[in-house]
Amino acid sequence: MKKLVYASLICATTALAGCEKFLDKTDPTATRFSEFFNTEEDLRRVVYSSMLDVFSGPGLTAKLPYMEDGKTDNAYSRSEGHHHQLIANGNFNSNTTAFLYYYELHMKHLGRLNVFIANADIPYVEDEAVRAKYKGVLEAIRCWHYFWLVSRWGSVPYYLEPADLGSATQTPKSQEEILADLFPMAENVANNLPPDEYTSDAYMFNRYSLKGIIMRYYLYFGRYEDAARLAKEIMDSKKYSLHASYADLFSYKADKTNKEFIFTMDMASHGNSATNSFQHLAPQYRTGNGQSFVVPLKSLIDTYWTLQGDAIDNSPQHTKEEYELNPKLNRDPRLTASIYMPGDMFATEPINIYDPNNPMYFERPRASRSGYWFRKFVDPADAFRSGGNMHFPYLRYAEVLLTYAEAKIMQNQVDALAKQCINDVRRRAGLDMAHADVTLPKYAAYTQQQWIELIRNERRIELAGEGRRYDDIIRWRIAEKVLNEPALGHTRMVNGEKVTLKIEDRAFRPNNYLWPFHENSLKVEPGLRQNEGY
Amino acid sequence: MKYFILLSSLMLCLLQASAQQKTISGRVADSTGAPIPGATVLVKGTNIGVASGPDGTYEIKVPNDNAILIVTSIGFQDREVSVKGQSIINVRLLQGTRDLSGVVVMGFSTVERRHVASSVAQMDMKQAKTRPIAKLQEAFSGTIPGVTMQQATNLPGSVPGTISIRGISTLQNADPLVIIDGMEMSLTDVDPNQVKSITVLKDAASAAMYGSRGANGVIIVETERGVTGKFKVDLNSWYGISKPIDLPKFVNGADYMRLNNEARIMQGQTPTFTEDSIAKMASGQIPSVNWLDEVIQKNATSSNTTLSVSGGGGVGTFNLMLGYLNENGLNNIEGSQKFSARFNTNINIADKFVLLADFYAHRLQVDRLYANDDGDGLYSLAWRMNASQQVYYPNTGLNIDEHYQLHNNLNPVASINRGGTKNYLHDWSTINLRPKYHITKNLNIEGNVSYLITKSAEKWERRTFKFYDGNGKPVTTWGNAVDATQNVSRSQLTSRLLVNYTGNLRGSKDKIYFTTGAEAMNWTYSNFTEISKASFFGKLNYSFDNRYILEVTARGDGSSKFAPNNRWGFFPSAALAWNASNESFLQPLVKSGAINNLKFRASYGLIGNENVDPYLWEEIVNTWGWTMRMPNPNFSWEKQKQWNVGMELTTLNNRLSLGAEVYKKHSFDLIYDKFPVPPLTGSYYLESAVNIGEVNNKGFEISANWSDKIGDFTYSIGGMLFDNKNEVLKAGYKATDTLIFKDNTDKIWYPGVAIDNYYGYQSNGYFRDQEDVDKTVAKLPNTLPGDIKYIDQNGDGVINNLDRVNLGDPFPHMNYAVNLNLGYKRWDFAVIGQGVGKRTGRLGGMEGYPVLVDGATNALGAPRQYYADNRWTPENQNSRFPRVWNGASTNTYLSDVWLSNASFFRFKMIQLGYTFPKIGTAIRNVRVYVNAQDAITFTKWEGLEPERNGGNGRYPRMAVFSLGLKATFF
Repeated sequence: MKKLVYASLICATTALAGCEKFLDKTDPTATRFSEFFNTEEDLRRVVYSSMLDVFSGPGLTAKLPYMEDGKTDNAYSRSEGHHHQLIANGNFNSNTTAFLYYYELHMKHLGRLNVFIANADIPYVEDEAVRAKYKGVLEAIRCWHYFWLVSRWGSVPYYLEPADLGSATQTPKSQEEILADLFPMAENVANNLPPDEYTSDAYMFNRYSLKGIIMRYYLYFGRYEDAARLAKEIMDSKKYSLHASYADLFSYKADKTNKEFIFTMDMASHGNSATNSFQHLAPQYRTGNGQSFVVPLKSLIDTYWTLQGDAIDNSPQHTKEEYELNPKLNRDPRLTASIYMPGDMFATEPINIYDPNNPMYFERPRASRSGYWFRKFVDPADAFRSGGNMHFPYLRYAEVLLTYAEAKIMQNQVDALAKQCINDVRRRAGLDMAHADVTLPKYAAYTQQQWIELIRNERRIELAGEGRRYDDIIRWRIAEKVLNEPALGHTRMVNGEKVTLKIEDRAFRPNNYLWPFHENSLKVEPGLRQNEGY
Repeated sequence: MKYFILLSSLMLCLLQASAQQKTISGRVADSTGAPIPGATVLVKGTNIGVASGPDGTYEIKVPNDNAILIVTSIGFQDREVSVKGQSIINVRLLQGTRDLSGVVVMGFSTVERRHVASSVAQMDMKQAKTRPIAKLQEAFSGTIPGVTMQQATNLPGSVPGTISIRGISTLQNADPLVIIDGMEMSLTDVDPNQVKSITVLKDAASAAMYGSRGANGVIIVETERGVTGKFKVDLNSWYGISKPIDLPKFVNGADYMRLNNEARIMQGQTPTFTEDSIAKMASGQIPSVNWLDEVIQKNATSSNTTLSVSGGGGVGTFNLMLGYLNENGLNNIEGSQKFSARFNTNINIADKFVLLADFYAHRLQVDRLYANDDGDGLYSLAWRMNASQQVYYPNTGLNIDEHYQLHNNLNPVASINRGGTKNYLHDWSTINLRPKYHITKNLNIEGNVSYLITKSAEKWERRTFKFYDGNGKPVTTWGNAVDATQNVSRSQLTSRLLVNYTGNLRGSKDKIYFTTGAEAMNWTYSNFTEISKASFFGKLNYSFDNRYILEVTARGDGSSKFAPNNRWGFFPSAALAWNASNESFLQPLVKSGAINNLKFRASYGLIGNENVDPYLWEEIVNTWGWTMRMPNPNFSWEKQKQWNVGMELTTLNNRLSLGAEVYKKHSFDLIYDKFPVPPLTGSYYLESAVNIGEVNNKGFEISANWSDKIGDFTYSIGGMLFDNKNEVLKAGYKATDTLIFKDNTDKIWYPGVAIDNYYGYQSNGYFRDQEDVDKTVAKLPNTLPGDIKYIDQNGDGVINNLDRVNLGDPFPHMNYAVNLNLGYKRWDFAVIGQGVGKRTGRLGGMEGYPVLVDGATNALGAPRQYYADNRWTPENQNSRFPRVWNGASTNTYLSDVWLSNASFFRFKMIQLGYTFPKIGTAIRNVRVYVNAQDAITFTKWEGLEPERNGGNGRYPRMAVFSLGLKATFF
């Protein structure tokens, strides 16, 4: 009997053990962290994917610099899913997915970067300098994320270590606290990076491209002295210069050969996959794939100087209405270089936005509802192919010059170098320097306020469609004004009356300078405090 | 060891079979003693058989003394008699067929209805099989209390809707577990004509036997088997024509243009259409296009034919069932065909040993448009056109064939004609072997090995087609696309061992049923995914003096889907019943017929649910170094505690039967596999699978049925009423937590709301004019007169998330059904009416909004005529709907404006039939019937189809009118 009991006990145990084994099933596709982080190549892939997923993916319609102006008075973004339209027209609240998308995208990459930076010593490398470079680039990307987050939300969690479920819910730090740590850290990272652009991966941060980004944020956060200092340092490095032709920079003529792009989304940044700027920005044309996702608005068109460098409502040559009805009349050449408008030839056909039979008819979903299109980054060579191979600037030398000028103007120290910076940009743009030279006597009496208006407009024109405008209207605190105007398009005379296409009403509330945290983020991170007014 | 003993005893039995022969004689008679000529007498497990003579006598040689005779005759119940040393065996057969309703298939065992203590419902299969149902799910509408089936679609080749038993208690797949002949399958896999019985296990005590997924309820299906001694062929065939019942009526071309202008003018934009072009459209000079008419090119038809060849002899029975279901869509491409074959056999290997060997295979072919391959896409395309848009360019003189106009690059008519075809193929095959060995009369041992394999593939073909614009220039080319692909194949292997004991105790006063067993299941996918489950279970029914019944169930389940150390769940339950009608003090009432049956039941139990994806707990790092989801080592079963109290009463000489149940299901440790985690964890999906949340479902079910006979006229009328209230108790780790859903922001969880709900704004009319807009502080940006005025619940002057409230739930409440059966001589007439007393529906998508809210231009499509008639205009201030708009609008938030009463009453079925008892000698039971499904609906619902919420266009719901024929040959 005893034997039987033992036998059945043994049977039962083996049966249960068998069961346990039978139930032990794990995902065959799963790997562990240690299986993946092996060699130098994995360090490179980590840098690559950290850029690709947030900054350099050709399909990242919410993040591509040339789409970003869809959040501003420069342009209209026709697809809500790209997360620009609602931010521009104000129809958002703390449930709008854009805020979850951006917050999670940047924050989860920070979490991932923290893990990689902490473990950067693990993969095998032949040359320790390689490890130092990749680690530095990862740290630079981490700084960039934080600059961006702080400028959108103000106070955010600030954490530089790998986080588990517990430590991932950090109490946010204030903007000042974070910046006090971030700026010196970023400059330190930059000083340790190689000074020259890499032969193959121009998209990876080097010393000056990171300094350019830091300079930008010094300017955004009103630290003009530091902004001017870094701008000067980049100028003095003599590594970069303005390209001779403004228009060529944004087409295949010079996108890869100029010395102006300091920080570039090159083909290597997305593994040589096709770029989509034509598809995203161009009109639907025959069998081409133009989608008109982001199109310029009247507000931007009217911004362009006259050829003499004056505003159109302050021009001795023509009235404002004349310029409105014929935007090409006597204008800054950058207008033609940047914008397609009705009457222009697109590929081989004149643009006619008022013919319902034409695919460019303004009411068609894939046409421009303003009647204008961007020409920057739209090269007709891409018209009938499925993708392009264009390089895009995250930062170019003209911005450094304009930053120096603006930083000096803001300190009310409009020195010769500041004026020269403006003149360099204007001259290259093709303005009539007989009138537009800011060293001319008519500018001598300019008040600081007049200089501010000039540099702001200059910056808007020069960098139109490159993703700088949203930060500018936020930091200049003018969004309340410019984003409370309806989005308008082409203007023409109908039966003796001036008629302007209207796309939508827009609203910007005084609290909108900071974004709301999404309700989901507030639930997940109980320490977050909702920004004012949401 | 156990197996070895079993196996050897099996061998012994087989050896014994070859003993000496013996002759038996006797007489077959009916219950009055009258002889039955032509009765079949068979020796079980052999080919030996004779027929009784005109005087009912027979003589048969049996191989040995252990033989069992099977005596059968048409119109009588089968009987089995052991030889056991006798040489003269007189057999009396009872008239009529065995009353199936007396036995309940409980999962792994059958129990007499009167000995059941838990909540079990059976479908009236006679009614389900005499009506033309293409898919078995449809049979659940309005037929079983507590079971709802919201029919969402009539799309060929698709599942018509989801069945829910006693409400929803999970965030995961809430489909009930379906067991077909002991195999876990889906209802879609079986033709209604092949089904013998359907049992629904509703409470914990009954479903506990299926611990692993019992929490959603269990549906047990048994398929038809052959009958000994009766060879017959059954034919059941019907042909139906379908008519759409929910087509929207959009405004005509001229009205569309006027409303578009109206919206644009209100929005300060220039009107698009000139008076001149509107006049042209109004006069018909330019035709107004009804796009739905354009894409609905023909009537949808369907047909179903089932042929069943069955019979049996001493060696066993067989039933071969062949089915062909054909559904054609609304154009020449869409449709589906399903071929199925089921071969069920009972093989009497020895007198005590029977093997049930069943084979089933089906092939489902679904034909769809390549351009819109989900079947609904074509209709959503048609919805986003407007009547002023033309299908073709008017005569341009360009001589282009099929000169389609593309609107936003689309043209649904071109999608049909030139968009190509896509064909899906789904193959299922199963083998199901169930050996059963009767050790003694009371004790048997049963094994079950079943194997199911599914395969599916798709292929598509599109030929090159070029589109030109109005000027004859090329605009788009649909390139040649021809290819095929195979999908992941799944195989499911189940093995099970059962021991059943049924016996009488205390001299037949008490009865005991005992079942115990173990089972192992394994799913293997061709992409290396694998799931395993192992279970041990036991069930005891004890009937004390036929008055008190105890039912105890226990099941231990292990599932590979959960984290190690959390894989096993233990699910016990118990039920008690009291057969009051068997008490002596009620005997006078029973004898007089005033009470025929009175039973009270109560049950309580714990069951589990593991219906989730595998590997959710694991740490998974992909090749780019992403941790895909945060691992959770505590991930385990969803659990549910449920009590149930029920009452059954049959009274007035079996004419009136009543049933009532109340229940409460408390589900806890609910699995949310998308529980958000903080982004700084750096994981890819920022999700973790956790056991979180608690939900209560409570409800009642009442049913009543009256049946009687007046001369040749028989009738029965039945009705049922049931409701379920659903309430979240906990939505997170703490009682105060709220849970929001990334993929659906119009829903929230906090204690007190229903598991699915409408979380939105309350409205207070519409802004009257600009002055009203200006003076209202709490409003959304860009508000215009005629827009919805949302209520600022907390009065803080801002309309934001804090102003959203629970606006109700989308579940059907106060479900009721009535059914009526009339018979007069050979005529029969039946009606099933089904209704929902209270449901809040959402006028989602274009059923509500005047434009397609697509997050892009928000300007496509046209308003419904109903919207146009009830829209806000400065002159019509107290309107039902806000102003017409296009583009971005503040009106599209979920608010009570877009909710509407979706209660309804619908004649699910109206049927008239006539039966010819005999045609010639070979054809019997010929029944011809006409049937209308879903033909008449009464509702105040402002959307299109009250059984589903609105959307942006789907394949229409249909009423089906059919003609059927049923006959038995031989």
